[in-house]
Parts: sequence; C-alpha cells; structure tokens
Amino acid sequence: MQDDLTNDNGSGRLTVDLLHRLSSADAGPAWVEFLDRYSALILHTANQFEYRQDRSSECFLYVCEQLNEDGFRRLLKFNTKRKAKFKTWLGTVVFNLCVDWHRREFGRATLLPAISALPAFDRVVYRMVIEQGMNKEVSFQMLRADFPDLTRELVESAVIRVYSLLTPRQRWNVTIRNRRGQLARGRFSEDSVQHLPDPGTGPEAQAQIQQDIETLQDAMVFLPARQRLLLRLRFQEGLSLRKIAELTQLGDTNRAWRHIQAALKALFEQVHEKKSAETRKN
Amino acid sequence: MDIDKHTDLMALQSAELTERTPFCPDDQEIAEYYEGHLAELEHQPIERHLTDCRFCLARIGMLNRQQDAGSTPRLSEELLASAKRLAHKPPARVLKRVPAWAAAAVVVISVFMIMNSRQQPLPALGTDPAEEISTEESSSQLRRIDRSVMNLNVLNPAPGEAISPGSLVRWAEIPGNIHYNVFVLSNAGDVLWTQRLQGTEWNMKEDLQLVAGNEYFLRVEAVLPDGGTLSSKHTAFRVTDRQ
Repeated sequence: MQDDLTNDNGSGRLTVDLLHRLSSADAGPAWVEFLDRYSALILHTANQFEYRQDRSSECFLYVCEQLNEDGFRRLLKFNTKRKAKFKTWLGTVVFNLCVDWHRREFGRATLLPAISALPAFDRVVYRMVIEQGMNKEVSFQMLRADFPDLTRELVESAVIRVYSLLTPRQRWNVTIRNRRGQLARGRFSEDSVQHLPDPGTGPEAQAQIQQDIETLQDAMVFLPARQRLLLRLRFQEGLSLRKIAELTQLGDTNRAWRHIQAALKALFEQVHEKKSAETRKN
Repeated sequence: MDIDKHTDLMALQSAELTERTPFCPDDQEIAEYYEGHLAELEHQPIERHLTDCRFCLARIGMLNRQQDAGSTPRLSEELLASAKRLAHKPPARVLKRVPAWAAAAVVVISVFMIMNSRQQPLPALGTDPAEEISTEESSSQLRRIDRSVMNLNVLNPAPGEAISPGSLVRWAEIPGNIHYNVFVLSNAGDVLWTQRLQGTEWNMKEDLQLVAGNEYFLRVEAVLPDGGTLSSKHTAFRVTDRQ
C-alpha cells in the first residue's frame, strides 16, 4: 500500500495535491488516483467485517460511494494543518463507513466474523489444522476421501482464510503451542490449539463460553481503568507490546509487558474470587 | 480457567460493536492519538474514554490491523472499475452554482409532490402480501422500516429443544411481500435440506431422515423485496424417536 510523503505536519505534499484536485471541477482523474492508492486499505477494512467476498465487495462499493458523495465532502474534511497522516485518518473514516454499512444491512455491526460463519469446508480445515494440529499434507490426504476434487492449493487457501480470521493474539498462541508441541514430541509437528474457543461446539459448550465471558466482564469492572485499557488493547485488539507502550506512554515494551502481566494477575484473582463466591452460593 | 483461556475469551467478546456516541473523539483526534501526536492534556481524556468505549477501542484496533496488513487484499478489476466509474457522476456541488430561482422552483415542486403522495393511502402492514401490495410497494414499505429493529427469530423449536419428526417449526413474521428460505444443517454445518416458503410455519417432514439423538441446526432467512436478506440465528435442536 503506497503511503503519502509526510512532512512536519503529517500531511504529505501528494495528499494536499490530491485533495486540491478532488475539490476541482475535473475531479475524475484524482478519484482514480485516490483509488489506486487507497482501495486496498478500504477493501482490507471491509474484509474485517465480512468474510463473504460478495458482501465485502458491496461494503467496499458503499464506502466508495459515500466518499464520492457530495463532491468528496468527507475526504475534503481532512485537516491538512493537523498532525495526523491522511492514511491513518482515512482508516478511521473508512471504519466508520463500514460500520454504517453493516448496521444498515444487518442491524448491528460485528467485527472479526466468527469461525462458525465460515463455509463447512473451511470449518473442517479449521478443526483439522488449528484444533487438531494436523499438518496440511495429512489434512489434504484425509479430506480427499470426502472431497475427490480437492487440491493442495484449495487446502492451502482455506488455511489462509481461517488464519486471517484469528486475532493476532490467537495466532501467537498457535505459534507458542506449536513450539511447545515440538519440544514435547522432539520432532516437528503442528500442535493442536486446545484452548482456542471452539466455534463449532454445541449449545452447552456455547452457554459455558457465554457464562465465562460474563464472569470475565464482571471481573474486569473491578480492575483499575488503566489495567482494563491495557488488557483490552492487548487481548481484544491484538496490539503489539511496542504499540501499547507507545499509546499508553509506558516507554518500552518490557514495562508494557510487566504492566500487562500485573493486570492479568489481578483479573485472574478477580475471576477466582467470583467463581468461589458463586460456588459458595450454590 | 487458565490465562490463555481468559485472553481468548477477551478476543471473543470483542466481536460486537457499541454505538458511536457524541462523546467519542473525532476521526482526526483518534488518528493523532494513534500516531502519538497528542500532548499530555489531550492524551489523557482520550485514554480514559478508550478504556470503556468499545467503538473507539475497535477504531484503534482497526488502525493497527490496517497498518500491520502484510499482504494487499486482492481487488477484482471489475470492482475497482465500478468504484472508478463513481467519479463520472456529476458532483453535487454543481447545484450550489444554480441560480436562486431554480432552487426555489425545486422546493415548490418537491412540496407539491410530497403533498400529492400523502393523499395516496399506504397499504397496511401484515396484509396478505400476494393480494394487497406489489413488490415495489412493499420494497418502499420496508425501506421505511428501520432494519436495525427487525429480528428474525425462530419461535419453535426453542434452542436446544428435542423435537419429534413432523413437529411444527415456526418463526416470527417479517412484514412485507417476502419469502423465506429454511435450512436444516448438520452439526458439521452441511446443509441437509433447504426450501423456499411463503408462510412462517413449516411441518418438519418425516422423510428428512434426521437421526434420533443427533444435534441439528435450523436457520431461516427472509428474502426482502430489495434483494437483501435477514437471517435468524442458528437454532440447535435434537430429534427424538417418533412416539
């Protein structure tokens, strides 16, 4: 994705020029240039809301229509005198529009579509490769019995699709558990991800997950605001330690890590306290 | 619960977004916060706000994913061409240059048309769609309904209920001239049976050959006149032996 040239106030010369041309009578070529530079950003954001390609394409076009509307009114709102880069600012504008589209279409906006929303074949791949830790070749051989036309490329692309839906933290967990598995077995193997929530479980397990989430939410309330923010940035949004340290002005990654560990410990204690209280009540 | 499970659950609860509020920072402020340009005085209120605003936290998370996006998503030529064609629509600002008399004429004509349209009675919601309203009318009717308040709920069976073959399946009606697609899915997510229906009831056929004791899922999808769809949640059910 091409970024703009950035000067001291964050707004590049290319951006200023582009916005100027978008506000002119002949804005067509500027719009084409805008799309060449930022369509990938728009589609990437739309993909975070919609797994299905036809729907993410609809969302993409909706965003483009809205940006185009009323003589590029939204784009021309960008304040070139302030410090934020155009691309970052555009990212938030596109996010808002994707939320609008999702609410308009489905009545609510949901990010990170659950694995349960995947087609049946992708879910089988999810179970085999992520949950059961089979490598792609073994999965391919096993699946071929049910899907005679299956190719290794199709398995590969399904794995990529499924991985793209995991949060960075979940992906990290996959890596760590794989490594633990390799150490335990003394050979290369993709270990299973036993702790990843299983989206394909039945109602009882789903109810248990929902109950655990509620316990967690209740426990979070008792943490100091700073700890809540750290946990949410790290585990809900999957930000890196470096980015968290930068955003929360903690200075360096080690310090951010220590603060997050302390927050996790406090949360763990709260959850235990709540569970003990519930057990006593019952 | 171990720590990994805690953190995975935190990721799970992040899916649904809350509404944006008037207290949420504007886009420029969020972008400046993300890039670390804010002074201490501006930084702290945003940080306090982020702690419990799911919407703004998601904006930060999205910026992070946008910046970290390793590979460029594949954009079809056709889609890109459609987006590029949007620029050929005349920009709305041209209207700003029309003479005042033309603008006044537009207002007068609009008021006249609105008054005229009010004299035509609207078809009542819930009437027999086939007899009372055309597809076009019902489409405009649906546009008047706030889709955010429409829910397609399966009324029977209840989630997790055990039902016998031949039981009646029912779902809440969505107003307008629409039809429903009903799906029965296996536990693995494979569609075992699907049918297009007009009403809001269906007798689960005995020839479906569902295995007693196994878990299945039911989903109903309303196909709206404008081509959009509204889907129910997957309702799990079990099948008992015929009594």
